[in-house]
Amino acid sequence: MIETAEPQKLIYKLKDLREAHPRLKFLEKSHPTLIRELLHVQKEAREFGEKHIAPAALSIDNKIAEDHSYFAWDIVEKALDYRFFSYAIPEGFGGLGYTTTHLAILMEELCSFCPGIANIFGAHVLGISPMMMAPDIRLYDKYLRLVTDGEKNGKPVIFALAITEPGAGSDVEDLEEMKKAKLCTWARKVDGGYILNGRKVFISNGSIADYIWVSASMDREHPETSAIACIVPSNAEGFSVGTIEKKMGQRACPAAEIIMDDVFVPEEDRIRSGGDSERLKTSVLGASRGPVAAIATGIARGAFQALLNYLNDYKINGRYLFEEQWVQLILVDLMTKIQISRQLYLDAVITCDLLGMPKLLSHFSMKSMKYLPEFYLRSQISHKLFRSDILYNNVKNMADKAVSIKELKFIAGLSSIAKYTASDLAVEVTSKAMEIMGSDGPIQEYGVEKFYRDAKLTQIYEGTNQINRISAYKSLLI
Amino acid sequence: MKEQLTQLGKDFTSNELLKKWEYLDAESPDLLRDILQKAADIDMFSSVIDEKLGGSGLTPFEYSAFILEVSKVSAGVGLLFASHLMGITPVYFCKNEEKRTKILSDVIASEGEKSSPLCALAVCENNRSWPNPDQIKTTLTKKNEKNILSGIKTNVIGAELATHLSVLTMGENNEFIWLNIDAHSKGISITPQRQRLGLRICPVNNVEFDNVEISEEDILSKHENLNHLHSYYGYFDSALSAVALGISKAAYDIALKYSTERYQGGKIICHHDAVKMLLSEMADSNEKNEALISSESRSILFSAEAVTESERICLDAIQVLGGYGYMEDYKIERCLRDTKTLQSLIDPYSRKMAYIERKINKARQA
Repeated sequence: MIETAEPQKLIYKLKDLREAHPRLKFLEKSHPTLIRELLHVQKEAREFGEKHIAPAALSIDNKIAEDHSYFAWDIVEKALDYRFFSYAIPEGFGGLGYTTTHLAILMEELCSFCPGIANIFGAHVLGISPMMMAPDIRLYDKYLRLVTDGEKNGKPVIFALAITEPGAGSDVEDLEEMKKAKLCTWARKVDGGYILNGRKVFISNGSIADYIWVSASMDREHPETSAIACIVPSNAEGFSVGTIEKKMGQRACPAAEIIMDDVFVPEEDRIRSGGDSERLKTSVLGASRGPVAAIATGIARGAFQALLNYLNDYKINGRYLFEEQWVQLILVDLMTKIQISRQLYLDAVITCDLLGMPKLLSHFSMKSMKYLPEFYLRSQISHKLFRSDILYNNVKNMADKAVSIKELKFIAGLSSIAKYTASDLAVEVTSKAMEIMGSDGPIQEYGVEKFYRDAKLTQIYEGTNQINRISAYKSLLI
Repeated sequence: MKEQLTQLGKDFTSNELLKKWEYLDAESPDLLRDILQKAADIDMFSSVIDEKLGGSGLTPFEYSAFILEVSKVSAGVGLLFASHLMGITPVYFCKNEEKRTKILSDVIASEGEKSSPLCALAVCENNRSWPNPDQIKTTLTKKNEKNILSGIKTNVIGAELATHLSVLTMGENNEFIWLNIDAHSKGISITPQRQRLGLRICPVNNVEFDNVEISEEDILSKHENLNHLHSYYGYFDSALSAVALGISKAAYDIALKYSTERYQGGKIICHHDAVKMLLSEMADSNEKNEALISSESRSILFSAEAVTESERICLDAIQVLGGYGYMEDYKIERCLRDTKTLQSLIDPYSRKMAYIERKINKARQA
């Protein structure tokens, strides 16, 4: 019997940042700290994914399919040591001071294991990001420290962002559309604060978050100009969690309805944006859609890796399936799509960090806070200073000068392009991966079908891909 | 006739399936047996058998009209009827009139007596739906004057409930032999189905034949090569296409209805161009696929095309519903899961390869 040589097994060589993105090698010369941090983020996320997510992802998904109120607290607790919850928090407030690019790398890596679990951290960052974009140092001091302290004490403090309403989804992300949106959450001014009433739906982390950033309009005639944003603790009187959705995928991160029945929010917990809600929304969406593209890229990568693992084991009649040329051609096509997605999201997030609001986080005044003694930061004097209008206005003026609305729109446009392209490609990659596997494609144990279910959501959240295309048109073509 | 079958399908779904909709997304053999019994009560298993044998003599295209309606509500149940047609196909093509008559008469006789006089097709032996000649490892050999069947078949749709199995096997003289055997014969074991993405109500199993004794009567036909599969697959392809089309029509209907009720930016979303574009492409694809099924022309690629389009339609339909489309309560995510699972069983890649190889061979011979 003639023994034929065993073919070389498939290895995905473009998993590592520097190998996949030669431009980072060049950037390393001018920004050595940044690249060192990014490599560290990828290493940490991969370690966490391999050690804690990969062994549990499918069983968590199945548990939630049976009981959709189940939440994997054990994974969240294991993540505390990795400090994923305080990635985006400035160093001066106890966080790691990471910016959009770091978060995108984190999301891609974690999503290559399980986007549902990754999104627990992603939705948390989304929950605190409007605070970061405002920027409102008094809120940094009051709330962001809770997160970093929680990590130290082994008690996770989780945030969520609540925009979507039962009758108004994509339109609340666009000021023009919002004028005519069917809103059901309203705020009214009362002594010392506001009263909130209404419902928000599909809120990621909504059922488990400790604090929720909520947007609500005050004037029914002019909802687009009267919107306020505030932080609502989940233990506030009148706050409750409604339906926890049964989702097709990304189940580990719960999507819940939140109900506000005469919830009082003190004035100091309102996030101030100087009345310029367009600026705040453009900043937030510009910073959040790039990481969603990273999520999609991670999903595509995860499916691709799962496919390679399958193909490395699967033989028909003594011959590996990957030895077939038609399979090789499709594999290369899928790899190319992943590479395109990654380049697009890196363009978006690096631009966001270099030109957008995140660049202010590296301002010396922010950085220097970590050198201030804790007794001073916690003193009455500093609290008064942080919450003073003078400081707020100074910081706001600095932000307005440093980052123009034109730049914010440019960033938002790039982010939208990355988001809709990467999410469309993620669906394609996961779909084709299943097709190569034939009848084994939909079998749960191989994991690819889960990535397929997960991928579809990336075309929907952070604005549907249709809304993102319109957004890119408005940002980059007119 | 097609209109009558469509109406029959509508009546069947409204009486037997709609109220049980929420239970049709999980393994539920008892429920399925009950549903199949109701189908047997209206002669749906014998309907594809010649009139002279006591059947209704429906063509696959007419039968597909019923499958299409059923698949709009439950693709898993629709697929079982398609599977029955697939299982009957090797018998239909059997040139031995006596054997053919006997097997088909058995099916007719058992309808009403058993819950599911269901035929199933056992042809695959790996993850691909189209077998290559050198990949058939299931053998029929002579031992002590007896025909013995050994091997494992994969992805047998409806095996758990089948009463008859049509099995492709390799004979001792390297010929390809079709058998039609009692699914409960000694030596046959069926592995439980693995957890999968969709079509969960419809069992898809591996079937192991451990020295199963086969009588001469069970042998349907012998072939030198697998060229005949093009006729066989072409015969039942419309049924698989109908399942795909049923799913995509259901998805389109849900999306269309939602688009006329949901407001965004002060107007109904069906008046937004982005939604109109999605809906028009969905409608166009459905109409093209319906035309293919109705044309009575046969190709092994129609179902591959239909299911690929069906996936796209379901993805777009979910997009129309946005976040709601992604939630189980809105019925549309099941369409996507079902159609993607169906695609894996139809396996467009292996069909395309088989199709073009045949064309190439013909061209070379010419």
